[in-house]
Amino acid sequence: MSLIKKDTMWKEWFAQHGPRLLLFARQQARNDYDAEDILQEAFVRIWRLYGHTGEIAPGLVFQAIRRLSIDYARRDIRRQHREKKADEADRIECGSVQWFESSLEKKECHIQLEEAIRQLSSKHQEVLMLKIWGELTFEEIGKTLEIPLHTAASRYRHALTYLKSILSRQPK
Amino acid sequence: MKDLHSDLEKELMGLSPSRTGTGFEQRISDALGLQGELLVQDINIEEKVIPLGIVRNWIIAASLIFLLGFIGVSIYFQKFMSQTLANSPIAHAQPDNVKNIALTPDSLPMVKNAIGPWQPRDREAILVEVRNEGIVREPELPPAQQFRYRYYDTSTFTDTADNSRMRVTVPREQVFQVKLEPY
Repeated sequence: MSLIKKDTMWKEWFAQHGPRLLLFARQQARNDYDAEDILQEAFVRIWRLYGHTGEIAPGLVFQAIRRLSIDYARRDIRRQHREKKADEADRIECGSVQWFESSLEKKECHIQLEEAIRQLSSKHQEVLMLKIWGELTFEEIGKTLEIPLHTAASRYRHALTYLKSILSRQPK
Repeated sequence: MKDLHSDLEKELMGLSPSRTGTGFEQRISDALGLQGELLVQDINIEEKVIPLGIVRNWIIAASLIFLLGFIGVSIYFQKFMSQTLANSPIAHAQPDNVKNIALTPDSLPMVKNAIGPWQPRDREAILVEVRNEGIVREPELPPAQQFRYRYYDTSTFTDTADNSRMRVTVPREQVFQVKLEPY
């Protein structure tokens, strides 16, 4: 029996799913610093439980992110961390980090979309992110957010409607 | 509804979420430690798992060895016990009991009738020794424990004519064999 080091396994998995997880964490957390902490903690927890199989469902990490975000909001960890790492907190201010990457040719369009998404309510944002970028089904979204499947679908439709409405009001 | 938002959905899908910072992977790597670097998939399953057929054959072989051993021990034990029992009697003969048997009047080989003027008056057999001579084995006979009895047979005669007496003492040996039945 031999155990071989494969330090690239989790990195490969994280390279594939990390950006969408981070996006959801940013949406759930109150600032980018907390989002990274939450993502790290959620991923490490899930990977320690199921990582030995080499593949874990992203939905598990989404669920962990959601629960940790609630915990973070309840506890005063955010403040402690901010005090502990004041330098980083100064660097990363709330809302200053872009959620999406933008290419030069479509930069303006992407910024408008991101601004529109940020104007959505938190409930609509989370459903939209899990559906569009998380690539989860409504059933998985329901499990992640602990809401009924139809509620998830309904929120998604409303989110798109609101988003369209916001975009139509924006100057072109 | 889907058609109404399909363009918007496509537009949203065109957005790529921002990647994590360069130091973020290192943070996770530190948090995971060694556990993050080991996978069950890396274990050679073929080496780890013993095929069922081999396990079954080993169990059958072990059972046969155990059964043969048990039978062998049983046979040896039975033989050993039989030999031990054959060397020892079921019960040792009690000299007192044998003495009683020996002293029954009918068994005394003494003179009962008158010899000339001498009339038998009294007779007795005195047991002077009982010797346990151990187990004897005769060909084609079961083993037996042998006892040797030594007597002095004394007969007293009286001549009624002159009222004289004569005492005759004869040594006698009697051998008893108690048959042994090993169980």
